[in-house]
Amino acid sequence: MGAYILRRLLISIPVLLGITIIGFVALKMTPGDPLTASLNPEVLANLMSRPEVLEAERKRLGFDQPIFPNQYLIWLGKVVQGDFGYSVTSKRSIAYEVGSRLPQTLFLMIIALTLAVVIAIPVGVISAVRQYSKLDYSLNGMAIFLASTPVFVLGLVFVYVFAVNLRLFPTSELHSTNRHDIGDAIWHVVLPASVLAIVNAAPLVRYTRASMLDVLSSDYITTARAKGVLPWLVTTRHALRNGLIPIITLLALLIPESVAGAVITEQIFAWNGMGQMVVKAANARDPSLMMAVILITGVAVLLANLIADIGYAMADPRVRLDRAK
Amino acid sequence: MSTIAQPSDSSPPATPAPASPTPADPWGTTGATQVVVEHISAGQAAIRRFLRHRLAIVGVIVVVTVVVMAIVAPLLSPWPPNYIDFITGSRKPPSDWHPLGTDIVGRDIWARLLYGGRTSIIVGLGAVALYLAIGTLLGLAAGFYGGKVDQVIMRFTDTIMSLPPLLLIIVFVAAIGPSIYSVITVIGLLGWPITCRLVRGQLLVLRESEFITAARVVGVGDRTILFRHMLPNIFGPLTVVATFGVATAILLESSLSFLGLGVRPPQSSWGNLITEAVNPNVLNDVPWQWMPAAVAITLMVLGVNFIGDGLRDALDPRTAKRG
Repeated sequence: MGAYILRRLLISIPVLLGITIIGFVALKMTPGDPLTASLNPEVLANLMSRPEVLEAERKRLGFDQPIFPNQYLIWLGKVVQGDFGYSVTSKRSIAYEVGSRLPQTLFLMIIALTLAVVIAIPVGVISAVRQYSKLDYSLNGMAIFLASTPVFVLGLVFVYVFAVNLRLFPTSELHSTNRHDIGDAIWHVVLPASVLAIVNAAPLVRYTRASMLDVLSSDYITTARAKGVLPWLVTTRHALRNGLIPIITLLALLIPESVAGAVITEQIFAWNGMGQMVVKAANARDPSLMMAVILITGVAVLLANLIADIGYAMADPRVRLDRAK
Repeated sequence: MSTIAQPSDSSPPATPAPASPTPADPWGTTGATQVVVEHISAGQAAIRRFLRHRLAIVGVIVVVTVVVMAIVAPLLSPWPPNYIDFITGSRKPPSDWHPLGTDIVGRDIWARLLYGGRTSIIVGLGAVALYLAIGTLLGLAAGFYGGKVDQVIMRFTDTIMSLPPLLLIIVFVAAIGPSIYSVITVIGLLGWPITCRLVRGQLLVLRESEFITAARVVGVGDRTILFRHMLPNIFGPLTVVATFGVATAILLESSLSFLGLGVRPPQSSWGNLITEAVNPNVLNDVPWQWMPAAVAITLMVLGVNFIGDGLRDALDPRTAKRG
């Protein structure tokens, strides 16, 4: 297992490099002085009055060199040392910007994804077991409808109904003023987490149903039934375990999406997480910040794939990670 | 010459078909017409299956309605979409003058909704046309040539597919500068992997099929085989992918415009009609500002998805039974 994980991580390095190269080159084409994005703003302010020093600094940082590979390698070297540069807009270091937001996003994401899985898998299984029943049609229809509803529409409807009209939950923000206890945080996370959970659950239901239908029609299920295994045991023990494999794949795709921030959900609920940071960075065309976003997403994608592989091995004992292909 | 190994058991073109025709009926047509009671082509059969798909018909009605309304927008609303009606004023509820009321600066919502439909349709079609072209070409190259070309293209495809699309699109649209053109370009340049995979997969199957072998034996060139013999066989699945793609592109455009990163105001889009509603006061007090656009997007996306479902079932009867 350990050897496998190590090998996977090594294999994934080129992919990560590829992602960052694409992002780096694209972002270098944005207008604006790259110098402001890489120097401590206080230092920069002192240097502003002396253009010749600025020019020297520009040379020292390599901005007179070709974007690829020279500038990219310089950036990479700094990132490896933990220097991500500075945000143009907030004048703070990228490490601070990300560090202060990642926890909020993870808090929201873990609750939302857990909710999504807990809702979607049973619904998908029931829908498959009762295929072509009224229950199946209504559950599946609802999933199609929710999958076609844009997140922001769903989010606004939720705020409109539950926060503005029924006043059950707060409309936005992470916590009430002057309150930082866990109860208050949970009260605030209910609406955004439900929206995110529903949005993620809709495709999960459809995948679970399709995957379960495939498995339920296989011979070993018929055998199990013929032997007289209790129906619910056939479904849960025999079928679900195999049916889970494609679902794990889908989950692995959902995780990076959520880490990078449920961009729209965070925007609606003024949730101060990675998603809001992405929008802020994009609106201000903040290159260092956007580069950090790309890097974090890339890492999240690779980790999620790794988790998915381990998940396959857990769901299906035939999958052995240690053996080379 | 082609890089593909010919199957060793390929039959020469002179070999007669398994059911050898009799002298009286040299092409074996009478036998065929007797067996097929009602002569319908595969295409006609597909159209019939599509017409029997109730949700798909609902989808067609919805989408056609929206498209027609967007095209004839000037006839349906006397107000230009960007005209500010100072007499009526801003944030006024629906009235005889303004069927859906006015927005925060006093523009007619109904007009903006109609013209927003235009934006959605243009982005949906434009972006999908762009990525169909890219995806098909790359997929054809990967599937046809195989080997190193295939590996490089597929590795690239996997990399792009593993990244969250909305995030990637946000970063690139912001880098270029938001506008309807950059939205189309970026969705087009990032959306091709699904098409590419599909085309490649279909081609790998087609490559081994007998009619391609036959064409090769007769001496048909690579390009003709690719574009005249193989490509038409992929049109069915491509149509399905394109339809779902339009729904996704419309969703992405409205999401981007909602975030203020898509279509530039004052050009209207369903997404930027809804943006104002992030403010709880607008959400509650000016529901006519955001509700029509919210309904429009949901209906349009649902409609296009229904059509996609219907097309998939109609064009590929094998998958129709699987949910």
